[in-house]
Amino acid sequence: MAQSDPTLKPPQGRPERLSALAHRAPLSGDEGLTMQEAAHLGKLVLRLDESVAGTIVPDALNGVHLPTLPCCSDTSATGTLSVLWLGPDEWMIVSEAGTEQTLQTELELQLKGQHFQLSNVTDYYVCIDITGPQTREILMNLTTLDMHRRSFEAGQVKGSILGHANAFVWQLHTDTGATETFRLIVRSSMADYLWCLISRSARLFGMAEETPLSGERLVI
Amino acid sequence: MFLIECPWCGERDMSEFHCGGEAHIARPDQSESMTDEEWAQFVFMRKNSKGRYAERWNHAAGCRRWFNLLRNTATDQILAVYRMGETAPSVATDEPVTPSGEAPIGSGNDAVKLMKPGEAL
Amino acid sequence: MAASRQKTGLRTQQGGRINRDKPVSFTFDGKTYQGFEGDTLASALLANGQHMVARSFKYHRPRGIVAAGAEDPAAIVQIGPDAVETDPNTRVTEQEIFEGLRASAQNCWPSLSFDIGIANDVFSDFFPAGFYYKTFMGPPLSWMRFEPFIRKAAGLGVAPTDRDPEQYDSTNRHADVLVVGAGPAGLAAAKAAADAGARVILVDETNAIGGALLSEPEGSVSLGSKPADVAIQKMVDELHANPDVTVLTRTTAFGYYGDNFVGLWERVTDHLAPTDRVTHMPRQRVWRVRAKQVILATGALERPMVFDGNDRPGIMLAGAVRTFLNRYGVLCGRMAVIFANNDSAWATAFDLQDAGAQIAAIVDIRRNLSGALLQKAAHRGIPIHAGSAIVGTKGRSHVAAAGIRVLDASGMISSKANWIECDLIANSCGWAPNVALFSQSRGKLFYDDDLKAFRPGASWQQERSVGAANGAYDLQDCLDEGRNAGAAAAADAGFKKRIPRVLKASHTMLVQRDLQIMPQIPSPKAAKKVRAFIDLQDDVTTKDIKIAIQEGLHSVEHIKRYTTTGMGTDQGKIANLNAFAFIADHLGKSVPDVGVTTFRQPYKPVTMGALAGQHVGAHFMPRRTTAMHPWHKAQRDVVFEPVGDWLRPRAFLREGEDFHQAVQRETKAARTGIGVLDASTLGKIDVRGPDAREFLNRIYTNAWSKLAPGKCRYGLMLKEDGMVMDDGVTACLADDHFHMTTTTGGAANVLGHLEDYLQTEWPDLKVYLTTTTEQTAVASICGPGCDRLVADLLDDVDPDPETFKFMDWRDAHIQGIPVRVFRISFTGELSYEINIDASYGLWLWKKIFALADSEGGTYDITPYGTEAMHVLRAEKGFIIVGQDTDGTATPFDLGMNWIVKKSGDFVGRRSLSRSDTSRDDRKQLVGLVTEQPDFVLMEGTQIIGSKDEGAVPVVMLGHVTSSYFSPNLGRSIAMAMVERGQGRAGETLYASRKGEAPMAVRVVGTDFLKERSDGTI
Repeated sequence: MAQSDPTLKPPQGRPERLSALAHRAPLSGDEGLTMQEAAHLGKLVLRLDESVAGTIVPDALNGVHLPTLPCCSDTSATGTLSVLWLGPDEWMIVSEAGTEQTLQTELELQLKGQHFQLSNVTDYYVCIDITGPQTREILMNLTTLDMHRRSFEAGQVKGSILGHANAFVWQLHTDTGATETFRLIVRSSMADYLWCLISRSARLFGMAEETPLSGERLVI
Repeated sequence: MFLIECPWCGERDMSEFHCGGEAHIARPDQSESMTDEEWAQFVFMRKNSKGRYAERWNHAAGCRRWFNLLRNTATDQILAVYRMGETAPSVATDEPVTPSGEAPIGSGNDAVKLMKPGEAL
Repeated sequence: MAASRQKTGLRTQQGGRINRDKPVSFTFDGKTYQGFEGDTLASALLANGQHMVARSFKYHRPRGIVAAGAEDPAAIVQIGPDAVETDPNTRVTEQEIFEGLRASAQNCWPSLSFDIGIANDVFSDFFPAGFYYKTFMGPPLSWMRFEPFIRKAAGLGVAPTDRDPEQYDSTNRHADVLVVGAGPAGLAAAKAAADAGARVILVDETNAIGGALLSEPEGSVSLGSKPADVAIQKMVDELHANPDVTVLTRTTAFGYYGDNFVGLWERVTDHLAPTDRVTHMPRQRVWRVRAKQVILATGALERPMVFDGNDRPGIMLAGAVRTFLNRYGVLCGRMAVIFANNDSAWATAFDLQDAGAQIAAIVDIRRNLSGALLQKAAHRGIPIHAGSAIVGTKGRSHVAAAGIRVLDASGMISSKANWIECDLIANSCGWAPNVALFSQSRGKLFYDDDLKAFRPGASWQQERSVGAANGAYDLQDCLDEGRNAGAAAAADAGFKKRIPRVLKASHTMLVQRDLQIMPQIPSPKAAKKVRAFIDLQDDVTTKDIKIAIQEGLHSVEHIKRYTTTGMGTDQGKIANLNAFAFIADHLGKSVPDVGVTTFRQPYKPVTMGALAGQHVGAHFMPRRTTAMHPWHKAQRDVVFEPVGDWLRPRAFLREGEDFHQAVQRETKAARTGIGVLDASTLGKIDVRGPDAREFLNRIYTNAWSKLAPGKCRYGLMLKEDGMVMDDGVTACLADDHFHMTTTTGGAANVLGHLEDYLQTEWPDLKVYLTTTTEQTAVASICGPGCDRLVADLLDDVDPDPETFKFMDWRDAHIQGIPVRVFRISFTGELSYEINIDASYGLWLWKKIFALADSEGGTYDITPYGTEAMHVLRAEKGFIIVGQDTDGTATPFDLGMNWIVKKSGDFVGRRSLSRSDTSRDDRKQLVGLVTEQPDFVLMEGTQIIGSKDEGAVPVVMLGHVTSSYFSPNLGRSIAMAMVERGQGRAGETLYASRKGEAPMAVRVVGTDFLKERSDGTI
């Protein structure tokens, strides 16, 4: 439990930043199965007309294209910046923690003259990374997406429903032969629910089940 | 629970979608000059026909796009998917014909549970 | 007779697919029995000579084991060690035994062998068809009075007394080919499809692969060059080795839904002793499968003969007797009579004899039997009664004798009774394809005159029926059909067509041939005395069906509902066809003219736990919380309120306070000190594009063309019918960029509504929308002089209300962290809403409270919850959409004419001038003050016009929508929707109260603070 006691006064002079899953430590299971939060990754949603998206490559994106093929993503050679297709005129730009504000400023400048929208959703969404040979099977417990290798390939990103939570399921590009990693992008307020539901669904693979924070008094 | 072919994301479970009712009902531009009856026709009245029906659907959990879908409401058979602004393609379907108003197969109605004498397999 | 009482020695010396090295002991009704690993509860009980396991639903008649699988009608028991971990209505033919299994008979008291409820049987004439309908058509409450007694007398098992401690899973799968049933046809299909490269799921209801082949004597069948058991194992091994194939045993396909969506129910640990269950394994699992192609190889079910006295324990289906013998090594009796109308039942006689039982007779209603068959039986010395029938039976709790008579050519009795002693009647009225799933898939059935049964006809979905499920009873036909269907299904699923290898079977199996159906075997008794059961679970006899027909019910669906035939936990799997045939016979129609009842999902009962899967308890549904939630939760005594999916603090109770006192204190503090509210849950939408203003003009009722950057405006959103849908404040960030807020509960709907208009009605408008609800956490700071606190917080912006005006917003920083501050108010008091990136929300919240005097700071800061927020906004007369409105209020009804612009279209505009919405007698929002200032009206209270309620129906003028005690006004206040309310200012109306005289209320304006300063209240 990385979280400080909320009743304590904040340290003077130093703003404290917490992600919605700050209270959850990484979990592991059999055969190298792990689940952890990729905290504070920069996330921007870009809306832009699909007819110009194919031709525009803002410098700020370091050569990464806006994918126009549905459910695809493009990632920089260094792996630090990715652009995910969310809809025909909607992308999510995922970047290293702390880079989103600079990126937003640069993109705003470089897209000037276009009809576009750029919104910072860094704190809106939480990224949960699951790695291990059983990941697809764990996700099958929660989503109706076809998780078979032939249907869900590296680099693909698909919006769907996991349990009761809407989320984007994104298979990260990994080196060939490496263990697959799926990144779930979910609203912050649903993150604890989804984290725990995954841990519950991964019980079969040796992961310890965690239950959502609860115990609030509802009735007088 | 049928499958829907999202024009962008491909075939997905129905639970990812949200139905927006009858399609091709354009919002009138000159509503002030319309009679109450004409306006009520636009706001309240929907065909809700049995058989071929054009509907609006939204891939709510996916790409959030609205699109049109032609569905046989008697059988849940999806006949066509097409984008907003396009007109419904003409396709053949088993329209309800039996005395009870059911499609001849796939409707689950009492009248169509059994093959009729002489009916080909 | 003697043999039936002998409780040991019914296990054969050898054979059967059980593990004789692993004895297993279990208890049934408190008595300990021995069985072997691989036994079902049924086979183990039969091996111990225990046929009777239950009492019937209505008459409490003894019920024995009839079938060997899921189709058994009435052999259901209660399973489990205690009142919590207990499963009612478990079929003994499906429950596998394990060490320590505890089973008990249900629906009997005090015991299975002596059951008081048998009195129902004696009085059975008083429980005819339609008994419930006839008896309880009395006064409305009589069913309520009788119901508990009926439930107790006629019933099934008992429900667990507490929450199920077991874990269940559910999972989703996609398959190219799903094969249901792993008999020869299903196995061949799965193999062919898998060989073509398809993703295959093969499921079987039982614990082993092989289907009907498991009911054949070992070594009697070969596939290819190998004995069947060896060949099957080889195929299963090959399937297991293929990573794209999933083989599931103990798994029932319980429902076939649209677009090849099939529900599978897997019993994962039910067959294991508690000590063998691995803790992380679920007890059961539901698989939700989407298959491109489905192959149904669900086999055929045997029909029982319908004759007088056919319900005694010891009267079993001939095929089941063979299964118990060859699969489980159990002799169901030592002195058997076979009663048949086709050849397959003769195999039971031969196998039983080979295993050491005596065959007292083969009774066959057919007059002309095949020579080979007769010769074989004669050679074995078995007495044959051709053209004869069993017309009655004897025995108390077990069959003891069969009464045999010869039938003439017209099927009438033409001889005297010939009673033959026996302890087993193995009967067969032929086999019917198990078409339940096919019919669920909405395929059409047809009646096959040779099989005298329904078979799959035209398919509706991407599905194929093969083998016995398709009426192919010959082994080679099953293998061929399966193989061809598997290959074709894989090809239709997009895999390259391959011609699979032919698997040749060699065997001497006797299959159904020359079937002759007699819907009811005649009886020499008076019709009234005949008790020939059609549905053994629901105690429906031929007499009941006759009564239903006599009373005018001619449709099978009506007769089913009137007599309950085909209902219950077995859904009449072996009863239905007999019922249809009997109805047809009685009405003088053909069976297809009578038709079938509807086969519905589920094929058999599925536990609720398995359907819920992992989505129970703590994982039931998401509870969304804000960034500040850890602080809220850590407070001394805080009460939360669910708002949509959100959990928001409702009130923060201090020591010694109750909820009401806390709300009063918080409400007062927000107008006297400083109140702080977590407003993070409000919906937020970023609106951007050159046409953003035009878009806002169209979706809000007021004008947005002139709102300058840096300013905010309140907006009301209508639906096209003119009714208020949502409200909120929208800020102009730049000429083409706006920040919209919505209600907490309406956020998703509003975004959907706006996207809908943009994408479908106005695609020409250049506007983009993105939800930003959770990007920012919001602290709403309220109270006179709260600007000083805000000034202390902000690095670089002066919040002085003189310069930072109402409905302005500013970008600012707090310790270098960017924030956006809105001077907007939901209380009427001086108020600032500070928006900060959510990851800093808790830090900001703690920073604010560090300035409170209670923490050593200098400000009188009170956190307040949603309840105080409600009171505060009501004091000011602000509406809450969804509380004061219910989807039938226009802006005019709410007295908000000022927000409706005079010209220009917007969503809902035209509806505001419809004759109905412009009526002057509509309900309108008003303020109400009670005559007694301390009396708080109940929300929902009806408002009437007179002091007395008068005669019913009382004329209702309206109802109370919001009602509180206002600490700032020192009296109760209420808002109400009242007919012509806006013209009633000053009028006295009355609020109806239960059990008390109506309370006088005065109509005032909704802004109670203004009413107070005006001196009205």
